[in-house]
Amino acid sequence: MRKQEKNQEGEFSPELAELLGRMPRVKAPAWFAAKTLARMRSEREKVRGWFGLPRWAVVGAGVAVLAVGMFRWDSHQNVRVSDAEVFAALDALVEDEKESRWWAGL
Amino acid sequence: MSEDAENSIDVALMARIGAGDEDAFRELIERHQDRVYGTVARMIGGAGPDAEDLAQQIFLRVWRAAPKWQPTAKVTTWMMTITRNLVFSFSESRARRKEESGESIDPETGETFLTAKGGVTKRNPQEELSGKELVREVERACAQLPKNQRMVVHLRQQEEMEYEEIAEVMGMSVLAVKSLIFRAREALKIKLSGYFRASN
Repeated sequence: MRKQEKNQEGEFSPELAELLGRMPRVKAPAWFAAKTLARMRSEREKVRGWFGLPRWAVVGAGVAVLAVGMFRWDSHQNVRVSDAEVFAALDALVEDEKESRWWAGL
Repeated sequence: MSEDAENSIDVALMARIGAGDEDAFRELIERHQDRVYGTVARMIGGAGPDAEDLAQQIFLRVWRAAPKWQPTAKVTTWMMTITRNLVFSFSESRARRKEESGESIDPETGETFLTAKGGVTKRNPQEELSGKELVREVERACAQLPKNQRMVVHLRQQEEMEYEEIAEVMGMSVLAVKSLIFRAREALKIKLSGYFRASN
């Protein structure tokens, strides 16, 4: 009905409109909706990342933890231990060893 | 059902999709898949994996945009605008890659168009054509139009859209749309004139 109205406006001649009207409408393939939904879910998972959080948040948190860890590691490097403390610890180890051997009857 | 009622359903679906409702998304796809897929297929020269991929991308864009979407235009018009953008960039990148895709550049307009493997067959116009052959000839003739003309002819003739809607989709004035349709009509008349009688 509407096509007829358009043709009367002179937009497409009846013959041309008839020819164009012969072109079949291309239909979506089977399972198109299901496949599109699956693709949407897969993309959403990629964006979402882990634990239901956005991937950028998880990656950002990971980087922050690493940065803090490195900082803490560096701060440990600055700890100074006196020689006496080292020797005392070694002596304690030797004493421990001696006591163990005594208890073992060696 | 009237177009307004149809659009109201789409608007309601979009609101649900914006809230993350997958069922609403499925319903929207099922309502518009033939329109979107058909347009893509017509524009890129036929159905197939490329058409399916592009049509899926269009719906994925709809899903992503849904939370911020405002009903400033009809949903179908908006979806056709997304379709046009994706299809045109696909055609341009395909032309750039200079693959064996059958596309050429129109020396006058700089637009890409499909040469549709062989173009319109040179044959005696009076020759009897079977229905399928005639359809193929019409499809070939349409495929040879520059992409802008191909799109407006499709939107007007197959999707039965109003000039104003087509103008919105194409991002141009109504006058420019009419001019494109006029040029397409003239080109098609020349290409298909020999088959007018055969079609009757």
